[in-house]
Amino acid sequence: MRAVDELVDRYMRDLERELEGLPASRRRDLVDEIRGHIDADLGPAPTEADVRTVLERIGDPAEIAAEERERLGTTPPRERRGRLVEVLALVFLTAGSFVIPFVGWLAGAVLLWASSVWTLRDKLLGTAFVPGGLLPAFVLALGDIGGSGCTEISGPSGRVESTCAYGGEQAAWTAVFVLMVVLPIATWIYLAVRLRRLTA
Amino acid sequence: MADRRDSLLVQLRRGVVEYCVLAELRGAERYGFDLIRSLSSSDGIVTSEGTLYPLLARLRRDGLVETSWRDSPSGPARRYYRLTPAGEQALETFAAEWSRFRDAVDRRIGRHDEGS
Repeated sequence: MRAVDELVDRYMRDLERELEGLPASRRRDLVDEIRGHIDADLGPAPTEADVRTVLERIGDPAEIAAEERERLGTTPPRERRGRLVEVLALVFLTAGSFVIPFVGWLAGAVLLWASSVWTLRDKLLGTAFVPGGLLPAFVLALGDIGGSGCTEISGPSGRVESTCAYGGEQAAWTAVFVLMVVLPIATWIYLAVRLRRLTA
Repeated sequence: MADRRDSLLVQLRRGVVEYCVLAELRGAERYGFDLIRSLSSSDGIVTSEGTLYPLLARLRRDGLVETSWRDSPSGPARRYYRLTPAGEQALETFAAEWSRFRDAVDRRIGRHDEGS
């Protein structure tokens, strides 16, 4: 390798080393600009003396890196934000109603809207789909609203047979029940995933 | 004592060099390399050409300067710099303040520019 190439390469390596820790895009831009400057200054057939002069004029890589840090600063790492408000919101939204019916859920809704992490869309979805949390589904299951639709008949041999007739009404109630279980859980998962993404 | 004096000059230089860069862009758009070469001289204001790149990036970020790229027949694309209205304003403000400051210091130190 020619002496001139080696001088330039060594300089560029020193520069990249000094720039470690800076944001990648700035590092790349600076390296490109300095390299472009060197090439423009050297011209087609530089001698070793030419290269040394140019590199000296450009300056010490450490000084350039220091200038970069002073002028442009290093962006402070994004601080991990506490998620207590959001975690409590999720707990109260789903299970708060089991402790104090409806009021528990309301506390969760208040926390949901108070959060500075979730977006407006997140909050609207959270409020719309989890009213009461899982309590309504629970109550529905316990109260067996809509009836089971099955009748038990004592057959001739003494065995109890049950024939179930699934009418439209029964199917409708089942669908409602499933929704009342699935939607809160799905919303909970959605809010939890969003929380993770936004506070990572 | 020498350290304090060096540090003061270093600080003055740092504060002033960005306005020297802005002044160099007065009235015309300049190709980056040309701009930097014309700023590098023996008057001690700019000691290292490489340090001008972070400075230019900072001026760009602050909106005092804007850049555009032009293709060049004789090599890679070139970046051109020019003053923004905000940059012009900043330069004019500094020029006025600097005159007052320089005159005040000269008066106090008792030196008068003989034009030597």
